[in-house]
Amino acid sequence: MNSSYKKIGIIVALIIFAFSLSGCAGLMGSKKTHKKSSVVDFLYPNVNEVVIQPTVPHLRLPLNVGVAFVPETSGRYSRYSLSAKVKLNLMDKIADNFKQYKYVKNVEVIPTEYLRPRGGFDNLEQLKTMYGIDVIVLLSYDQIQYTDEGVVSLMYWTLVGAYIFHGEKNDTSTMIDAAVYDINSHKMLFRAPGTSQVKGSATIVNLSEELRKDSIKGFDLATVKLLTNLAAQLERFKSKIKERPEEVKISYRKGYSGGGYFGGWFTGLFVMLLGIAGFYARKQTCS
Amino acid sequence: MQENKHAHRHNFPILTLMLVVGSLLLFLLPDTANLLIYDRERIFSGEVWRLATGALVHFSWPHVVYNAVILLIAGSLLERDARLVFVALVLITSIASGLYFLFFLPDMTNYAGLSAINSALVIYLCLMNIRDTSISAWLWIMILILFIAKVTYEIVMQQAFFVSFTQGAIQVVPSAHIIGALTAVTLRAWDAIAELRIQHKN
Repeated sequence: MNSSYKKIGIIVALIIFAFSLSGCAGLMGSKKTHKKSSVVDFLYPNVNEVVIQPTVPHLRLPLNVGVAFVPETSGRYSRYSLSAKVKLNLMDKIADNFKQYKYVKNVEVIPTEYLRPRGGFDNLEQLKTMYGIDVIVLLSYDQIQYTDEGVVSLMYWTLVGAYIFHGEKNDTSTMIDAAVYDINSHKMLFRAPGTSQVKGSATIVNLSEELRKDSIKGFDLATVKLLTNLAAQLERFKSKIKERPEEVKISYRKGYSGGGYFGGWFTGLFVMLLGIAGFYARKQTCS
Repeated sequence: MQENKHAHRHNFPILTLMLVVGSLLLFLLPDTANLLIYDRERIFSGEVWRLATGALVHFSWPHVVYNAVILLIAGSLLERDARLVFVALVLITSIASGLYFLFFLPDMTNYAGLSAINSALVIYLCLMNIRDTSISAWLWIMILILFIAKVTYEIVMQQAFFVSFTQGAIQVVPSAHIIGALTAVTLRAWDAIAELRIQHKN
């Protein structure tokens, strides 16, 4: 009898230990804070009802670009939304990055208040009229902070957007995504993500303050990566236009600059033929 | 205008070199380049020299290097044989293209690049050498065909080369190349008529 109780006791202890290692938040009282907004939720709220047919984008250079954060997903995450100040700071950085390109005429930072939750392309059309923008950089984010108070450092696997993060106690996993859309054609031109992970250093005493700092730090680090990825994706997009001009039409608005230019390959070919022809012509003259 | 191809041979293409070095220097001196670039508003406010000097200004390294290389070769070949023709082509093409932009491309505020002049030099060389009996005649015909194909492609595609510049919404202007070619054809025709008259007199 005693040995049976012992066995049952050992099994129960093992089950509890196994649950503690698996990171099951419900059982162990561990918590996570999830801040989230989604471009898909914003642009395609009733995707089953409406079929959106993108057309060929027609970009008139130099471009007027808007930068905006899509509204937070309503429901369980809405109370953990990112502060307006942090959003503005991030949008300013992205706007500054776009301003360096000569084919960008103007960059407008658009407050999130001007975007309705699940506003879709109708909302973007309104912004286009309001700000005179052609292209918009839609920013969305996903941030998870684990605040487990257990003694053992627990392991979590968490899906953040399309990315899988390995989270630990008091870690902050952040992803910011920038999707660049041509408003007229409703077509996404390119996108770039920026991710970061901030290791948790908070104690129970200063937990909320440290987590707040980690949250901001997470966004800052993710923004740095986002800017790098955005520049790389922009280069890829430019190459794509050159290789497949039928996919994006480019024209120039009033006030453009013109250049007399033959291009690299043509110059090479021209120079080679001119050189040979010149050589023969000279040889003939000498003889 | 007609110069005897063999009698007046200039061994050193000094004018070509001056144009090439001048263009490279201007790219390194953006303040000076700003005084010379084709600028529609400033031309209308009296800075008329910009009509002709815009050709010497360039927007990027690839832009100046590619144009300078063609000028160096085509200019050297022509200047050695016909310096007067070289000077006439450079002056007439730069002024004619500037005037064309002013009256027919009102949306274009700035223009820069030697390619109109390069087009004129290359087409003139082709027309001058095309009657040769050697193998080089075929090479000149090939260059001529290549040029026509290139300009046609530019007109059809319009957008294709803005990404070739390091930065900026800069549109390649095929009409500049056409004006260069037309100047060369006109000048060559003038020479041919003059040549025929001389032959007729003799």
